[in-house]
Amino acid sequence: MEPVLSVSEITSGYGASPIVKGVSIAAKAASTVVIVGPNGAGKSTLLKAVFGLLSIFSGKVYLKGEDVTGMPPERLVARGMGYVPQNRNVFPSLSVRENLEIGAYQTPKHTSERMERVYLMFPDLKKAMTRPAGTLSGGQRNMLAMGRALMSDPDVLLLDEPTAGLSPAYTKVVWEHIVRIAEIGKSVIVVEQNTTTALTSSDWGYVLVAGENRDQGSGPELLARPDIGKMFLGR
Amino acid sequence: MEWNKRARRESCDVSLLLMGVGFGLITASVLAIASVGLTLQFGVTNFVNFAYGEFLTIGAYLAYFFSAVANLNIWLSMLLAALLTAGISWLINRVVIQPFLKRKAPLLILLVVTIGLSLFLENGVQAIAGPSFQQYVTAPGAIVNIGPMIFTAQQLVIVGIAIVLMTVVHLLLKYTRIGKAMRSMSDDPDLARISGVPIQRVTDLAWLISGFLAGLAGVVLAINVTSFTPALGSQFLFIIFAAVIVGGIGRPYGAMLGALLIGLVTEVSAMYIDSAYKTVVAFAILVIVLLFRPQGIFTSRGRV
Repeated sequence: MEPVLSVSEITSGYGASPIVKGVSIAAKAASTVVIVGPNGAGKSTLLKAVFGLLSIFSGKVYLKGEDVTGMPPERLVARGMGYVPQNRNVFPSLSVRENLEIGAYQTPKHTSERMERVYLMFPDLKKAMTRPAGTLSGGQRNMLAMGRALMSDPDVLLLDEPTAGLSPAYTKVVWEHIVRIAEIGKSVIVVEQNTTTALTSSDWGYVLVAGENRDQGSGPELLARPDIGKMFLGR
Repeated sequence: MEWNKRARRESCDVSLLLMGVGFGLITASVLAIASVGLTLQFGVTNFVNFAYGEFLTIGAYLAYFFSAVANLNIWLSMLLAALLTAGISWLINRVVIQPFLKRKAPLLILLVVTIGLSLFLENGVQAIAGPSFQQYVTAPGAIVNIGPMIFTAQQLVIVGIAIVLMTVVHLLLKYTRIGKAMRSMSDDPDLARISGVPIQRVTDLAWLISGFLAGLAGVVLAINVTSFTPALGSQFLFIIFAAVIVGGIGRPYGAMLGALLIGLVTEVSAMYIDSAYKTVVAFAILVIVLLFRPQGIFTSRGRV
């Protein structure tokens, strides 16, 4: 099966200094891909570069076979890519419902149907639909952020540390949702610090170290590797 | 006898107060139109446009041109002037402001740019129209008494325009896609972009609406003060700032209520103390609000 998203040897960073150097990743439909690595490995930078938030110095990004390298975020959203940042990922003064509507800005057709689907996936959001998003808990905000990204019906969803700051119980819930999003046919690429949960729940994993590809493999396979265990899990 | 005198004095005080409220409603109407325009633009772009007062001046002078030179009805002149001011506002954003934003100029630079722009526009208007007082050739209409409050028909039209515009702004922000996009940009422009909001289009619209409201506010202000010079807008700008800051900067609903508060208090105060102190009263309210609630009185609703 052709990958929905293919990133080929991209180099990117802030200003003129590269942080991500020649990294390649790929993600197929209905799969979960996780990117792990130590702090400063360039995981979040990679997602930002793919989503057009940072300049790409070299390399290519293909979405459903189309070259989308350096395309601005609003055009990528219209073409089927969604992105959920780690922090400040909801509009606090807008209601939950309005947050979801903003997610459908580029693809306004079928907004109500998509909203119902999001509510079905995240029933907590339906209960809080008229509340300002700023009053939600951290976990609810992360779910709202994912729901908003799903409102554009993306083929690929990029999630930057969706469980950061959450309790282990909520982390488990968030990962259950991520797996369900993949099950409805989306390709989900997740940058995650919580290596064990991430690799256990994902179909494929990439290990980034110092801005470069170090390893890749299926989640359980990487988790079983002694060198990976030593690097991330203190085994 | 003594009781009668006291009752007469108290009734006189109440009449004076209600007269002040009447004048306050008119000032608040003008102020609300202007304040909502300024705060909408701030909410979306996140910097204060010090040239906003001159947009009012431009609107007032364009309407003067249409009514006095082209002999059009004052209300039609007002509409045309507001539309043209909207265009000028959009153009100024695209030609003057955007190049600085694209170079990621710091906030201070943008403030200096808009102050420079303000001087340029005011002097530009003066060079074209001259420094002398101008006046619309228009009848104030019949006198309408509502209790002790006295209005001219023209003033009631101004109050009506303000009510209609505030309702339209509310409907725009609350129920339209573009209005919600404006509110999302006001909350977090980066997240709005990530979510697929076309920020350039929304910014353009914010400048257009802001310019339209400024043009309209300039005309109703000029009608209200009866004669005006190129300093019309710059003199009124600080009162607009007071209303906007009291309501919570970047919050249109706050600006509406801030305008009502500032308009009423300044005009009521003018019934009891010299009217030359109206601006002082406005700033006294501003200082008190900033001391006790620096985020503005009406902060439960989000910016824009």
